Amino acid sequence: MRSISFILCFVMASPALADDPQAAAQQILARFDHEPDVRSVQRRAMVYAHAQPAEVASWRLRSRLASLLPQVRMGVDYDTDRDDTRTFTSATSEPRKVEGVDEGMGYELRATWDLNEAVFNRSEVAIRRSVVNASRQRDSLVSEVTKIYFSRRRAQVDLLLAEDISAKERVKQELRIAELTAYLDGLTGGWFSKQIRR
Amino acid sequence: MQSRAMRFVFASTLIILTVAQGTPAAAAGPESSATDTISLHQGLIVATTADGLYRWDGTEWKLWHPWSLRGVNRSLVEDEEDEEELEKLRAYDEVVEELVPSYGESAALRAATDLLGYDRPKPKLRFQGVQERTQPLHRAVLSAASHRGWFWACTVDGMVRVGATVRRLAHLGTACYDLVAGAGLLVAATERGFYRLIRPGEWVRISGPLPGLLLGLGARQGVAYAATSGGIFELGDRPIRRSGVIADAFGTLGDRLVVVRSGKVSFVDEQGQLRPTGKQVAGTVMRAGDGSFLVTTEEIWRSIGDSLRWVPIRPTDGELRGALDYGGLWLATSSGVVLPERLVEDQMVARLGAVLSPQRAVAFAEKTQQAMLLRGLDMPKQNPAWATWLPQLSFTFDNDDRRGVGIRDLEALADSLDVEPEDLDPDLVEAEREWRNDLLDGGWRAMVKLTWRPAPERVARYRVSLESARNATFRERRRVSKKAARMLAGYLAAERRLIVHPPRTVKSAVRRLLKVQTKRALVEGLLNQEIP
Repeated sequence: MRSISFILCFVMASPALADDPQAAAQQILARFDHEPDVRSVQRRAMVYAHAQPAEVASWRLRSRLASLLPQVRMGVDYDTDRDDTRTFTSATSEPRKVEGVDEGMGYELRATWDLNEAVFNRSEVAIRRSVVNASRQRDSLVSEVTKIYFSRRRAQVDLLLAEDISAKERVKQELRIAELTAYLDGLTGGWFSKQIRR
Repeated sequence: MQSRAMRFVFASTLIILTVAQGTPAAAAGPESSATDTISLHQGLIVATTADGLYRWDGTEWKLWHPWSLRGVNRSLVEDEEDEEELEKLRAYDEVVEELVPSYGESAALRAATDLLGYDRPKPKLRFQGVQERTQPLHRAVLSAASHRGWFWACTVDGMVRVGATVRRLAHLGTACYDLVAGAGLLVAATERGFYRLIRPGEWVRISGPLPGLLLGLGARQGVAYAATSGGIFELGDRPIRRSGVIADAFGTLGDRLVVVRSGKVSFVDEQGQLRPTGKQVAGTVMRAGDGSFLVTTEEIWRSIGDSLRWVPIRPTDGELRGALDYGGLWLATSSGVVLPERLVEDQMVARLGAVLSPQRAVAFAEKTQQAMLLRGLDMPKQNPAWATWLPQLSFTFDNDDRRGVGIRDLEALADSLDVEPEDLDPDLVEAEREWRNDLLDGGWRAMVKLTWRPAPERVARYRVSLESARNATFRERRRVSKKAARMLAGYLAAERRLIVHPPRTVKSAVRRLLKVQTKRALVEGLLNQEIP
């Protein structure tokens, strides 16, 4: 009620504004300047949904860069071999015994580049399809956020300008605003309410 | 009083014709010259201009019937000559009017020529006051309608009936002011009064001129009405004044009479009372009727049921004069007919060029392209065939150390030395143990390997999948471009409307500002950047 009085007093007290409804409307809308603007809400919703265009575009860059890095293989092998040789020099004498142990230790390092991947990476096709899907989802998200944001703003202004409104209607309108706020919270991970409280 | 009013009307018409003379008529047809009306006749679209009737043949305008109406291609005359000519014209018309009831139109014209010794002179016109030659051409055809298989045109030279030939109905009058067609009804208003068509070739005079300046004709439920500066009259067997409403413009929308006063549109009910629609039109009303359109020089409104709706149109070069909804919206303007096809074809250009300034259009186009890149929607340019012919490169380094350890039999050694094993020299035994650790073999290897795996079948598969991805990207690019253009047009239209039709209350201003902001935010969200 105080808000309505303020607006009406403001409009009536300023003859210029009373003559110019647009200027008065600007003044009314300026009362919500403390709330996040629609672009911030759009951006936040995109971040929350991981639908920023830059992120999606970076997938392709990463797949290209991946082809410059080699496939690296390292190997270590160890083998041991015990030999026991007995040599008979005569039929009566004891055989001459020679024991031998062979030990082998090998290391291998292999780097492999698929040069064809640098020209055409098979994953690019899949990424391109994902980019198209992400683009559509992003538009739908931005459009939804924008419409909810301005529906909420309209509800706020309606409540502000409503004269002779019953308590029931007022509660109904306030619930509507709360519902839309919760909706925006859902799309921004609670960021919207935090910003309003701040 | 009546004659004074009619004289005023005639003088007004004369002034209009004089002005019309100021601009030479172009013979280019409705493509580029002023078009007064556009209507449907026998399934064809007919446009009327000062130099003739044109029909749309599906691809272009074709001249149907040429005509030479007053005020077109006339040379300037001296004042004295003009007065003399006008006097001769008046005398001729008076004689014709007397003779028509007994002789018929053609015979009356011949008899008048014989009696007076000259043919009917065409009125010569002159400039009154200082008229700019660039002033827009005024209408030569005030109204036109298709009725009973004929095309009827109400022109500044009188009523004209058009079929296989053009016939001027001189007996109805020398100047026609308005024409209304309804169900089984065709009524024309001329300087001699009001005429109703009974059957082709037979007209009955309903009444003489009504008091006051004629503002327009309308029809409701098979009855014609005329609005003058003295009120609204029902044109039955005799004129009956039904309302005292003084309108600026009068006509029919659907089956209801409509008046416009100070830009405010109202319907007239059965009792002659006004029923305001709450709509305010801008500009001068050119036509209220011919179906469901209310046309002003600046706007078009369409009657839908009980409501009137503003029709969005692309900006036109000249003033609006008529509209026809036939496979799209056809607009008759003072600079020619605007075709629906052209609207469709030029949609993008109009949105980016005409609605925006060229600089802003370029900036917007750049932003759209930038938005595509940000989304990763650049068109793929790779050729998988090249990829298949490139080898797989591998570089291998390996190291292999082998130690062969032989432990000689100490017993055999002691035996060969002929000593007991326990008596062997400890140094010798130690040397034998160290010998175990001697390196017997060791080496390293480096290898570069190139592997080609050409497989045409795999290349073909890659190509198909890449082509499919390319198509999907192209479709998405087209969707984004189209959506961006449409949203931008919507935003600009909302902004333009806010300027052209400013809100009158704070509440409506807030709502409309929010609407504009919503549209702007949608464009910016789509492009993911600020728009200029």
